[in-house]
Amino acid sequence: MDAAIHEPTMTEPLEPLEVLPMPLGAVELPEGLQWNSQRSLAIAALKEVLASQKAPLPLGPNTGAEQEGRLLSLNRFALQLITAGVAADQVSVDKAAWMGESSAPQLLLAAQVDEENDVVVFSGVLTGSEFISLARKAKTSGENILVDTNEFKGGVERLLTLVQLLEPAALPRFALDTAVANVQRKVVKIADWINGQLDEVFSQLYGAQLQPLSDGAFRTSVASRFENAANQNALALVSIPLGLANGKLVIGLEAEACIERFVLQMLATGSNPSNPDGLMLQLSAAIDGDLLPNDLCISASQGKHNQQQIVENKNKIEFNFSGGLELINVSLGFPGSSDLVLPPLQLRG
Amino acid sequence: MSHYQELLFLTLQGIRRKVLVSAAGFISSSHPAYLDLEPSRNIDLELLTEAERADTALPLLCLRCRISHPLEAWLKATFRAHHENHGIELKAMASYALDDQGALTIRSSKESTEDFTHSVINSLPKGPASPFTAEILRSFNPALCGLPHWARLKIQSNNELKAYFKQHGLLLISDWALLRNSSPRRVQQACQAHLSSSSTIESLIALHSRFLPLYDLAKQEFKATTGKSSGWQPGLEFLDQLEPAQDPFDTKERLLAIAKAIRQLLTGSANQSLDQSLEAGNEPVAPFSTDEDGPEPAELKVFIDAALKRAMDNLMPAEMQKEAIKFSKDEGRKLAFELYGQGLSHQDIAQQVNHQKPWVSRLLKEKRRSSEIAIAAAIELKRQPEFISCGKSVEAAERLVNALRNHLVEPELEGDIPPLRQWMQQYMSQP
Repeated sequence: MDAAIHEPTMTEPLEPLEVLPMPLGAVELPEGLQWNSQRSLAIAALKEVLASQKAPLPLGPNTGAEQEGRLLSLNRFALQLITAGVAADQVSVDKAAWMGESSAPQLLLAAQVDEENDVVVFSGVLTGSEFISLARKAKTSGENILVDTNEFKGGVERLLTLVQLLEPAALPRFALDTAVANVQRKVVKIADWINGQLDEVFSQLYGAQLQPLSDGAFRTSVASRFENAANQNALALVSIPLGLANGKLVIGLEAEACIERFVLQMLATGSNPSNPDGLMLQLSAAIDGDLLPNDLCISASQGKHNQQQIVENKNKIEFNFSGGLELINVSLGFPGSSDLVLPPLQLRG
Repeated sequence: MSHYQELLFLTLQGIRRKVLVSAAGFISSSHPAYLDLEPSRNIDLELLTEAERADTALPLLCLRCRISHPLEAWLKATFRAHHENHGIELKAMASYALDDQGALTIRSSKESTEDFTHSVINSLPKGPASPFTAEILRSFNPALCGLPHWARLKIQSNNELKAYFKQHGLLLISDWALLRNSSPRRVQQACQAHLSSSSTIESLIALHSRFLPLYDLAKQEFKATTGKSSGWQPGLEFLDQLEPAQDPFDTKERLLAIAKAIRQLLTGSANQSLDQSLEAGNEPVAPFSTDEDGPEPAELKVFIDAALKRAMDNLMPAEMQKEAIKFSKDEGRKLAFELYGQGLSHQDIAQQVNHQKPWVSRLLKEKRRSSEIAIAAAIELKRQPEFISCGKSVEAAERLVNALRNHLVEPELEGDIPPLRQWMQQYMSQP
């Protein structure tokens, strides 16, 4: 008689999980070696992953890579490696590496290490701008920023994709605290949009997307979305996705995952196709006809000309600016969130 | 009151239970009162004291019976949770824990056996003692925790069982590592949902936060002195330092209760969370669509298919040569690749090769291999003007690689065989 295996019923308390399923892609290191730290296991696992690649990818430094806090260089990209236990729900990121723009990492790789089983799981990668965006709202513990492990996406495959496909300049370095301040001080020239150029930092930190309007029919169709653009010549459109996540105003990629989404569109207009002389701002719900969240506030000013509206049962708010040499300042606010301030926009000059 | 006289042990037919006449006789004659009582810490301690004082085999035999019950419960719960997906066998697991047949003697060296007494098990050489109950009893310190808990902690750190689980794609995580790797937020959620205790949640969170730095130091010291990463257990000194004003036994029990609550919290999510995070970002995207004006999709498809074919021809033969070395280890390996080439699902392959689905997934390494091929093809495609943006934008690079990977492994139409499987079919059919 074999001792019967009792099947639990729905009313019984959950049995504690004693073992974790090993994730696909986990790197199993040889047993019996003595590893000094989680980091030394993670470095060994990273080397093993790189060794399995057909084309060798240079990893540096050659000596001292195991030293805690030291930045790595992978195929010319500055990489910060952070480690935690395999069952960890949060990782600590040392702020020190992010204090200077010239030395900040371009990529942040999270390795979850099981020292008891010599197993390493690369949970994923954050780019510098993704990290800065998370760090702005993350909790801190001393000199560390706490990031949820599930914020790291794509496993080691994402790392291999980014370091092999991107040019290093495509991943700018951002310093903590100063990244947003810098971009907010930097003037964005609207005339550049017409030439298909959008400031990289503006694009990465705010998720701004540019649509050059080269085709006449397309121009007309875009202009028709704006109430006051009927007689204007639309030249370029920049959109910033916005959303509310847990009652907080969010932008860019983060906004795209929100249920309540809206968009700030900025339409450059002008009779001279190479020199815009007007800017239309439109805040509208992401879904046509949907209402904007009440109490959302948009302010825009150019010199002494100030415009501000607070949403109350509206599906659209529009502001117009024409001419003027002064910079246009735009900000959005929502109760309980910090204000979202755009970099100053320069219409002429 | 069968727990002190009934032994659970492994036989060729599976786990069996038997009432040991000598243990039953000892309880009836020396401790008849126990017959009406439930197993308890008090009885454990009385028997342990008697085993030390009299240094005879029978009190220890009763404790060996007692230990076999929580061990069996742990094995069965773990088996039940994972055998379907990971193919673990109860008998194999039990061979590491329920190897005590109830003999009154123990092998003390290659040549000799002695009575299974307290002094003998304490004089056994360093290293894991056999049977496993001897290892549990000789290392048990009643000031630190109860005997059933201790049995569970010892099985959690059994290196052979760990290796067995690892072969089956499972990681045995100790309570201490789990506590170390849990944030205060997770501890709070776990305690709120799964712990009823006289301690407040705030005091448990405070205990956990004091545990973290002390654990790091103690673990570092343990590694330096033993050279091992696993097997650390908190001693009296550690528990005193953690909660100076508390009974170390209570402190350890509270830590173990938090760990259990965390395990219960993880029960519902661990099966998916890590895999899901690895899978994230793989949403299907058609690789043949570009935003800009450019070549027709059919023209692009020719470029893409050629790049993927070159990448597969470049990367896969070396991969398959490495696999072929292991074909003689298990006939199922070769068959699995052949069936994959024919378009069978991982589940169907698993059934045909008499393994579990995770074994098939680990063998085929479809995600890793398709990613490498997709990246290699994307590097080549990036030279084409239509794909130049992939070098400049994170989104464009990821979109292209995800789309290529998806194209490699997902059929476009029902009944189609995707390119990676076609390649495999061709390769496996070569003489």
